[in-house]
Amino acid sequence: MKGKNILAALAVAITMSGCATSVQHIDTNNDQGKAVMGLDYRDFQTAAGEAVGSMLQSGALNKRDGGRYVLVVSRVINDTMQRIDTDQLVKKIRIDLLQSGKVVVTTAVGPNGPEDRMAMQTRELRQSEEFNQSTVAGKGRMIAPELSLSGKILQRNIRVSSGTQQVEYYFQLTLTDINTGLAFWEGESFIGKRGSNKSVSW
Amino acid sequence: MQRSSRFGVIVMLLLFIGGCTSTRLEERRVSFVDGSLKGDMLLTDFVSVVNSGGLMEVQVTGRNKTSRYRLLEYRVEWFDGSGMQVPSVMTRWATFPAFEKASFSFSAVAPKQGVSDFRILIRKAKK
Repeated sequence: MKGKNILAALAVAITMSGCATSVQHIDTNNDQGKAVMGLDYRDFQTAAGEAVGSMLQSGALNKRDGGRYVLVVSRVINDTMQRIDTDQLVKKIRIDLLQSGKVVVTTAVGPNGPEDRMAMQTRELRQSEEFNQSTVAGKGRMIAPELSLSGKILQRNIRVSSGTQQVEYYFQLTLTDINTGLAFWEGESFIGKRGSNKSVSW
Repeated sequence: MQRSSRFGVIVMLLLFIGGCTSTRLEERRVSFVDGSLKGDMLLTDFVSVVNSGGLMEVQVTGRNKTSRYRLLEYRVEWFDGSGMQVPSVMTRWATFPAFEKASFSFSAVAPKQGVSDFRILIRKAKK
Protein backbone atom coordinates (compact mmCIF):
# COMPACT_ATOMS: atom_id res chain seq x y z
CA MET A 1 0.00 0.00 0.00
CA LYS A 2 2.82 2.31 1.00
CA GLY A 3 4.67 1.43 -2.19
CA LYS A 4 1.62 2.35 -4.26
CA ASN A 5 1.46 5.78 -2.59
CA ILE A 6 5.11 6.47 -3.37
CA LEU A 7 4.58 5.44 -7.00
CA ALA A 8 1.56 7.73 -7.30
CA ALA A 9 3.47 10.66 -5.79
CA LEU A 10 6.35 10.04 -8.20
CA ALA A 11 3.98 9.94 -11.17
CA VAL A 12 2.37 13.23 -10.13
CA ALA A 13 5.79 14.87 -9.63
CA ILE A 14 7.01 13.72 -13.06
CA THR A 15 3.80 14.93 -14.73
CA MET A 16 4.01 18.35 -13.08
CA SER A 17 7.65 18.86 -13.91
CA GLY A 18 6.85 17.97 -17.52
CA CYS A 19 4.29 20.79 -17.67
CA ALA A 20 6.41 23.51 -16.13
CA THR A 21 8.21 25.94 -18.46
CA SER A 22 11.88 26.19 -17.69
CA VAL A 23 13.13 29.63 -16.70
CA GLN A 24 15.63 31.26 -19.02
CA HIS A 25 17.58 34.47 -18.91
CA ILE A 26 16.75 36.90 -21.70
CA ASP A 27 19.60 37.54 -24.11
CA THR A 28 19.05 41.27 -24.40
CA ASN A 29 21.57 41.56 -27.25
CA ASN A 30 19.75 39.06 -29.42
CA ASP A 31 16.28 38.55 -28.02
CA GLN A 32 14.40 36.15 -30.28
CA GLY A 33 11.32 36.22 -28.04
CA LYS A 34 8.01 37.01 -29.69
CA ALA A 35 6.66 40.53 -29.47
CA VAL A 36 3.99 41.21 -26.88
CA MET A 37 1.02 43.56 -27.25
CA GLY A 38 2.01 45.55 -24.20
CA LEU A 39 5.21 47.55 -23.86
CA ASP A 40 8.30 45.57 -22.94
CA TYR A 41 11.97 46.48 -22.40
CA ARG A 42 12.70 46.30 -26.13
CA ASP A 43 10.20 49.06 -26.81
CA PHE A 44 11.69 51.33 -24.15
CA GLN A 45 15.16 50.61 -25.51
CA THR A 46 14.02 51.52 -29.03
CA ALA A 47 12.31 54.73 -27.92
CA ALA A 48 15.23 55.81 -25.74
CA GLY A 49 17.82 54.96 -28.41
CA GLU A 50 15.92 56.90 -31.07
CA ALA A 51 15.45 59.90 -28.76
CA VAL A 52 19.12 60.10 -27.74
CA GLY A 53 20.35 59.63 -31.32
CA SER A 54 17.99 62.31 -32.60
CA MET A 55 18.96 64.76 -29.83
CA LEU A 56 22.68 64.30 -30.44
CA GLN A 57 22.32 64.49 -34.22
CA SER A 58 20.18 67.64 -34.06
CA GLY A 59 22.92 69.69 -32.41
CA ALA A 60 20.42 70.98 -29.82
CA LEU A 61 22.79 69.93 -27.05
CA ASN A 62 25.82 71.74 -28.45
CA LYS A 63 26.40 74.64 -26.09
CA ARG A 64 28.00 77.70 -27.65
CA ASP A 65 30.87 77.91 -25.18
CA GLY A 66 31.45 74.17 -25.43
CA GLY A 67 30.26 73.51 -21.88
CA ARG A 68 27.49 71.28 -20.64
CA TYR A 69 23.81 72.12 -20.29
CA VAL A 70 22.11 71.56 -16.94
CA LEU A 71 19.02 69.48 -17.56
CA VAL A 72 16.01 68.88 -15.34
CA VAL A 73 13.65 66.03 -16.03
CA SER A 74 10.13 67.42 -15.99
CA ARG A 75 6.90 65.48 -16.19
CA VAL A 76 6.64 62.51 -18.53
CA ILE A 77 2.98 61.49 -18.59
CA ASN A 78 1.90 57.90 -18.94
CA ASP A 79 -1.26 58.13 -21.05
CA THR A 80 -1.43 54.41 -21.79
CA MET A 81 -3.65 51.70 -20.38
CA GLN A 82 -0.62 50.13 -18.75
CA ARG A 83 0.94 50.72 -15.41
CA ILE A 84 4.29 52.15 -16.45
CA ASP A 85 6.98 53.83 -14.47
CA THR A 86 8.11 56.43 -16.99
CA ASP A 87 11.61 56.19 -15.51
CA GLN A 88 11.95 53.04 -17.63
CA LEU A 89 12.24 55.44 -20.55
CA VAL A 90 13.70 58.53 -18.92
CA LYS A 91 16.50 56.82 -17.02
CA LYS A 92 17.95 55.30 -20.19
CA ILE A 93 17.90 58.72 -21.87
CA ARG A 94 19.46 60.41 -18.85
CA ILE A 95 22.28 57.89 -18.63
CA ASP A 96 23.23 58.34 -22.27
CA LEU A 97 22.92 62.12 -22.22
CA LEU A 98 25.11 62.29 -19.14
CA GLN A 99 27.68 60.01 -20.76
CA SER A 100 27.62 62.10 -23.92
CA GLY A 101 29.37 64.87 -21.99
CA LYS A 102 26.91 67.43 -23.32
CA VAL A 103 24.47 67.43 -20.43
CA VAL A 104 24.53 67.23 -16.67
CA VAL A 105 21.29 66.42 -14.88
CA THR A 106 20.14 68.17 -11.72
CA THR A 107 18.35 66.14 -9.06
CA ALA A 108 17.82 69.15 -6.81
CA VAL A 109 14.62 70.24 -8.57
CA GLY A 110 11.83 68.36 -10.25
CA PRO A 111 8.13 68.54 -11.08
CA ASN A 112 7.18 67.02 -7.72
CA GLY A 113 9.95 68.54 -5.67
CA PRO A 114 13.58 67.54 -5.70
CA GLU A 115 14.38 64.07 -6.95
CA ASP A 116 17.05 63.80 -4.29
CA ARG A 117 16.05 65.76 -1.18
CA MET A 118 19.46 65.35 0.39
CA ALA A 119 20.97 68.34 -1.42
CA MET A 120 18.59 70.62 0.52
CA GLN A 121 18.51 68.60 3.73
CA THR A 122 22.28 68.62 4.14
CA ARG A 123 22.11 72.43 4.07
CA GLU A 124 20.28 72.27 7.37
CA LEU A 125 23.58 71.19 8.86
CA ARG A 126 24.69 74.82 8.67
CA GLN A 127 23.26 75.28 12.17
CA SER A 128 24.90 72.19 13.60
CA GLU A 129 28.02 72.56 15.66
CA GLU A 130 28.70 68.86 15.21
CA PHE A 131 29.73 69.32 11.59
CA ASN A 132 32.84 70.94 10.24
CA GLN A 133 31.20 73.92 8.53
CA SER A 134 33.80 74.05 5.77
CA THR A 135 32.44 70.67 4.58
CA VAL A 136 28.83 71.84 4.51
CA ALA A 137 27.55 73.07 1.12
CA GLY A 138 27.74 76.84 0.90
CA LYS A 139 25.03 79.27 -0.08
CA GLY A 140 24.45 80.00 -3.75
CA ARG A 141 26.30 76.93 -4.97
CA MET A 142 23.48 75.06 -6.65
CA ILE A 143 23.14 75.39 -10.41
CA ALA A 144 19.72 76.09 -11.87
CA PRO A 145 18.60 74.02 -14.87
CA GLU A 146 18.79 75.46 -18.36
CA LEU A 147 16.93 72.73 -20.22
CA SER A 148 13.84 70.75 -19.31
CA LEU A 149 12.87 67.35 -20.70
CA SER A 150 9.16 66.58 -20.73
CA GLY A 151 6.97 64.16 -22.60
CA LYS A 152 4.11 61.77 -22.93
CA ILE A 153 3.58 58.13 -23.78
CA LEU A 154 0.32 57.59 -25.67
CA GLN A 155 -1.60 54.46 -26.53
CA ARG A 156 -4.31 53.94 -29.13
CA ASN A 157 -6.19 50.66 -29.54
CA ILE A 158 -7.81 50.06 -32.91
CA ARG A 159 -10.01 47.13 -33.86
CA VAL A 160 -8.79 45.80 -37.22
CA SER A 161 -11.20 42.87 -37.56
CA SER A 162 -13.27 40.66 -35.32
CA GLY A 163 -10.20 38.78 -34.20
CA THR A 164 -7.41 41.32 -34.65
CA GLN A 165 -6.51 44.52 -32.90
CA GLN A 166 -3.84 47.12 -33.52
CA VAL A 167 -2.11 48.87 -30.66
CA GLU A 168 -0.19 52.05 -31.36
CA TYR A 169 2.27 53.57 -28.94
CA TYR A 170 3.71 57.07 -29.30
CA PHE A 171 6.69 58.23 -27.26
CA GLN A 172 6.72 62.02 -27.47
CA LEU A 173 9.51 64.07 -25.92
CA THR A 174 10.30 67.79 -25.84
CA LEU A 175 13.47 69.58 -24.79
CA THR A 176 12.66 73.13 -23.67
CA ASP A 177 15.07 75.99 -23.14
CA ILE A 178 13.95 77.22 -19.71
CA ASN A 179 15.24 80.77 -20.26
CA THR A 180 13.15 81.41 -23.37
CA GLY A 181 10.49 78.74 -23.10
CA LEU A 182 11.32 77.61 -26.62
CA ALA A 183 11.48 73.96 -27.61
CA PHE A 184 15.03 73.23 -28.79
CA TRP A 185 14.23 69.69 -29.81
CA GLU A 186 11.19 67.46 -30.19
CA GLY A 187 11.01 63.82 -31.03
CA GLU A 188 8.46 61.10 -31.49
CA SER A 189 8.98 57.35 -31.67
CA PHE A 190 6.20 55.16 -32.92
CA ILE A 191 5.80 51.52 -32.02
CA GLY A 192 2.89 49.63 -33.59
CA LYS A 193 1.71 46.10 -32.85
CA ARG A 194 -0.98 44.01 -34.46
CA GLY A 195 -2.24 40.81 -32.94
CA SER A 196 -5.07 38.78 -31.54
CA ASN A 197 -7.93 40.47 -29.75
CA LYS A 198 -7.34 37.99 -26.97
CA SER A 199 -3.94 39.54 -26.26
CA VAL A 200 -4.10 42.09 -23.51
CA SER A 201 -2.40 45.46 -23.88
CA TRP A 202 -3.00 46.78 -20.40
CA MET B 1 38.24 48.31 -90.05
CA GLN B 2 35.75 45.56 -89.16
CA ARG B 3 38.00 44.45 -86.34
CA SER B 4 38.23 47.91 -84.78
CA SER B 5 34.46 48.45 -84.98
CA ARG B 6 33.90 45.12 -83.20
CA PHE B 7 36.35 46.24 -80.54
CA GLY B 8 34.44 49.52 -80.23
CA VAL B 9 31.15 47.66 -79.77
CA ILE B 10 32.66 45.46 -77.05
CA VAL B 11 34.05 48.50 -75.24
CA MET B 12 30.67 50.24 -75.43
CA LEU B 13 28.92 47.12 -74.16
CA LEU B 14 31.32 46.86 -71.24
CA LEU B 15 30.81 50.52 -70.38
CA PHE B 16 27.04 50.10 -70.61
CA ILE B 17 27.02 47.05 -68.35
CA GLY B 18 29.41 48.76 -65.95
CA GLY B 19 27.08 51.74 -65.74
CA CYS B 20 24.16 49.52 -64.77
CA THR B 21 25.81 47.73 -61.90
CA SER B 22 26.49 49.24 -58.50
CA THR B 23 30.03 49.25 -57.32
CA ARG B 24 30.66 46.88 -54.46
CA LEU B 25 32.34 48.67 -51.61
CA GLU B 26 34.61 46.83 -49.22
CA GLU B 27 34.50 48.28 -45.73
CA ARG B 28 35.92 46.15 -42.95
CA ARG B 29 33.83 47.93 -40.33
CA VAL B 30 30.50 47.06 -41.96
CA SER B 31 29.48 43.45 -42.30
CA PHE B 32 26.44 41.41 -43.19
CA VAL B 33 26.32 38.83 -40.43
CA ASP B 34 23.36 37.03 -41.97
CA GLY B 35 24.67 34.55 -44.53
CA SER B 36 21.36 34.51 -46.39
CA LEU B 37 21.83 38.17 -47.32
CA LYS B 38 25.15 37.67 -49.06
CA GLY B 39 24.81 38.36 -52.75
CA ASP B 40 21.38 39.93 -52.25
CA MET B 41 22.57 43.09 -50.53
CA LEU B 42 25.38 45.31 -51.67
CA LEU B 43 27.23 47.97 -49.77
CA THR B 44 27.61 50.91 -52.16
CA ASP B 45 28.61 53.95 -50.14
CA PHE B 46 29.94 54.79 -46.75
CA VAL B 47 30.44 58.19 -45.12
CA SER B 48 32.04 58.92 -41.77
CA VAL B 49 32.34 62.51 -40.50
CA VAL B 50 32.81 64.34 -37.22
CA ASN B 51 29.94 66.81 -36.82
CA SER B 52 30.05 70.35 -35.39
CA GLY B 53 29.43 68.96 -31.91
CA GLY B 54 32.53 66.77 -32.14
CA LEU B 55 30.55 63.55 -32.50
CA MET B 56 31.32 60.98 -35.15
CA GLU B 57 28.45 60.29 -37.55
CA VAL B 58 28.30 57.46 -40.03
CA GLN B 59 26.00 56.82 -42.96
CA VAL B 60 25.80 53.52 -44.76
CA THR B 61 24.20 53.16 -48.18
CA GLY B 62 23.51 49.89 -49.90
CA ARG B 63 21.32 48.28 -52.51
CA ASN B 64 18.78 45.51 -52.37
CA LYS B 65 19.45 43.59 -55.60
CA THR B 66 16.48 41.30 -55.18
CA SER B 67 12.90 41.89 -56.24
CA ARG B 68 11.67 41.33 -52.70
CA TYR B 69 11.17 43.90 -49.96
CA ARG B 70 13.31 43.07 -46.95
CA LEU B 71 13.20 44.34 -43.42
CA LEU B 72 16.77 44.49 -42.15
CA GLU B 73 18.33 45.58 -38.89
CA TYR B 74 21.66 47.10 -37.98
CA ARG B 75 23.65 47.45 -34.81
CA VAL B 76 26.47 49.93 -34.29
CA GLU B 77 29.13 49.35 -31.67
CA TRP B 78 31.35 52.31 -30.82
CA PHE B 79 34.96 52.28 -29.61
CA ASP B 80 37.08 54.99 -28.04
CA GLY B 81 40.69 55.86 -28.85
CA SER B 82 42.03 53.05 -26.68
CA GLY B 83 39.82 50.49 -28.36
CA MET B 84 37.41 50.17 -25.45
CA GLN B 85 33.76 49.74 -26.33
CA VAL B 86 31.54 52.69 -25.39
CA PRO B 87 28.23 51.42 -24.01
CA SER B 88 25.10 53.20 -25.17
CA VAL B 89 21.36 52.69 -25.39
CA MET B 90 21.87 53.40 -29.09
CA THR B 91 23.80 50.15 -29.47
CA ARG B 92 20.83 47.95 -30.28
CA TRP B 93 19.33 46.19 -33.26
CA ALA B 94 17.41 48.88 -35.15
CA THR B 95 15.27 48.06 -38.17
CA PHE B 96 15.37 49.74 -41.55
CA PRO B 97 13.63 48.97 -44.85
CA ALA B 98 15.34 47.69 -47.98
CA PHE B 99 12.87 48.08 -50.82
CA GLU B 100 13.06 45.80 -53.83
CA LYS B 101 15.65 46.78 -56.46
CA ALA B 102 16.35 50.01 -54.60
CA SER B 103 18.97 51.70 -52.47
CA PHE B 104 18.71 51.82 -48.70
CA SER B 105 20.59 53.87 -46.14
CA PHE B 106 20.77 54.52 -42.45
CA SER B 107 22.86 56.75 -40.24
CA ALA B 108 24.05 56.71 -36.67
CA VAL B 109 25.74 59.12 -34.29
CA ALA B 110 28.39 58.28 -31.71
CA PRO B 111 27.30 58.49 -28.08
CA LYS B 112 30.12 60.85 -27.08
CA GLN B 113 33.20 62.71 -28.22
CA GLY B 114 36.44 60.78 -28.43
CA VAL B 115 34.86 57.86 -30.24
CA SER B 116 37.26 56.96 -33.01
CA ASP B 117 36.09 53.63 -34.34
CA PHE B 118 32.97 51.55 -34.79
CA ARG B 119 31.63 48.26 -36.06
CA ILE B 120 28.33 47.90 -37.92
CA LEU B 121 26.51 44.60 -38.15
CA ILE B 122 23.60 44.06 -40.55
CA ARG B 123 21.17 41.16 -40.63
CA LYS B 124 17.64 40.19 -41.57
CA ALA B 125 15.10 41.42 -39.01
CA LYS B 126 13.08 38.83 -37.21
CA LYS B 127 9.32 39.02 -37.74
